[in-house]
Amino acid sequence: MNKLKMTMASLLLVAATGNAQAEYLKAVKPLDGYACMDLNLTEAQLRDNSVTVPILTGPSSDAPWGGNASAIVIARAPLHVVNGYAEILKLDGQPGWIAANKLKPYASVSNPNAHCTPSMMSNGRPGFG
Amino acid sequence: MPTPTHPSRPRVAMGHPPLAGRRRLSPTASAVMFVLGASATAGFARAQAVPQTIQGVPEQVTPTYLETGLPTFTIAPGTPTNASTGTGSGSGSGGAGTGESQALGTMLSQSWGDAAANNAQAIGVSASAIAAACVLESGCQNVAASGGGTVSGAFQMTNATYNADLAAALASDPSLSSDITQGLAGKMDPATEALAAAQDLKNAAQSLQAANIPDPTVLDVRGYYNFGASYGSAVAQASDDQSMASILQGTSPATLAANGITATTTVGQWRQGIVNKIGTTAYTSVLAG
Repeated sequence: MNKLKMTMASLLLVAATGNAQAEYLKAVKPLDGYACMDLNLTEAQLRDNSVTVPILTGPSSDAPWGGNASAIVIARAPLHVVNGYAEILKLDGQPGWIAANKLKPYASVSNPNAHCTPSMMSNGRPGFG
Repeated sequence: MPTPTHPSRPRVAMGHPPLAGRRRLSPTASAVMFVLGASATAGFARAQAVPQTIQGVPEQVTPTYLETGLPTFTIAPGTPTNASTGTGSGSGSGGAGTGESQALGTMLSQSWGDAAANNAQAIGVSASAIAAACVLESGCQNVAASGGGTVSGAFQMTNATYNADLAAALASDPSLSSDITQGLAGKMDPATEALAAAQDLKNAAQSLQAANIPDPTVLDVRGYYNFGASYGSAVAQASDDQSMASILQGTSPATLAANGITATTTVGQWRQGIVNKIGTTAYTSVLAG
């Protein structure tokens, strides 16, 4: 009995102090009405910091710049295209527009089973689950 | 020579090889060892000696049963003498007032460490953040380019990234140009390369701030520095249980493998690998207060 108590106490202590991997960020819930899409760039272009795809604040070439797109984009699903620009959700939670021909369906070249779900994350911001 | 995912930096191997010749304890045995260790530590803390004043000779024990082979003996009482009173003085410090990190300690142990820290801080990047970059990239060793690539230096930058970042840093503070090694030779001067690397970290932090991450940490910006601007915010906002291959979705299997990333490596495992190397420095702010 004493041995059992000792083992249980030990396990509790280990559970409390020996957490091997800290949780940093997790998906809380999917963002309905959105899907992941990829930028239509080559691997080399994606690695080149000088190659950027602008996000505009409206569906027009003269709309103000609203940042640069990341390699994965959270786009309206079904795709909402106005004047050649597709509506997206920026990672700051604001809407934006990207030239529709700069987007392509989400896929991973290194893992055909990879998935991507636009999600609200545990830090309260949009992300990828 | 591994192929870097991002042209500016190849990966250094993550993790450690298995320890040869060491027997792994079972979880239960480990737990018991942990408790015994904790108990021993706690007991030690409670058993600290407290100075006592002895008045005269200590009370003597008169044995009732004599041990075999031990001769009878007596202790002749004498006059106790007081030990001289000790004197001394000391001083101590708790290290750098800013809470010096282990990564920073590693960088500052290099001859160029102070200059690198100063250059980073000059453009608004914390010394700990630039130290973390050199620890993660090269172990703070000034590594020459190899394999036909241009990635080199303590911060493992390509020529193109180095030139662009250094130009941006000097544009923000032209006075820094007098303290650096000019031209591409500066890439092999760690203090000079630190200035360009700090600019890259600053760019990363600012891009994450634009994504509504107000105070990006070393861990937040690691994706940007390691894999490039396009992946920076996606990696930072990816769930722990996502695979790295899902987020670095345009990256070939060969390039991932060269960076120590398999098809099943999760973002959480990748993050943990960073934390394992630089400890709590991973959670420090990139931008200096």
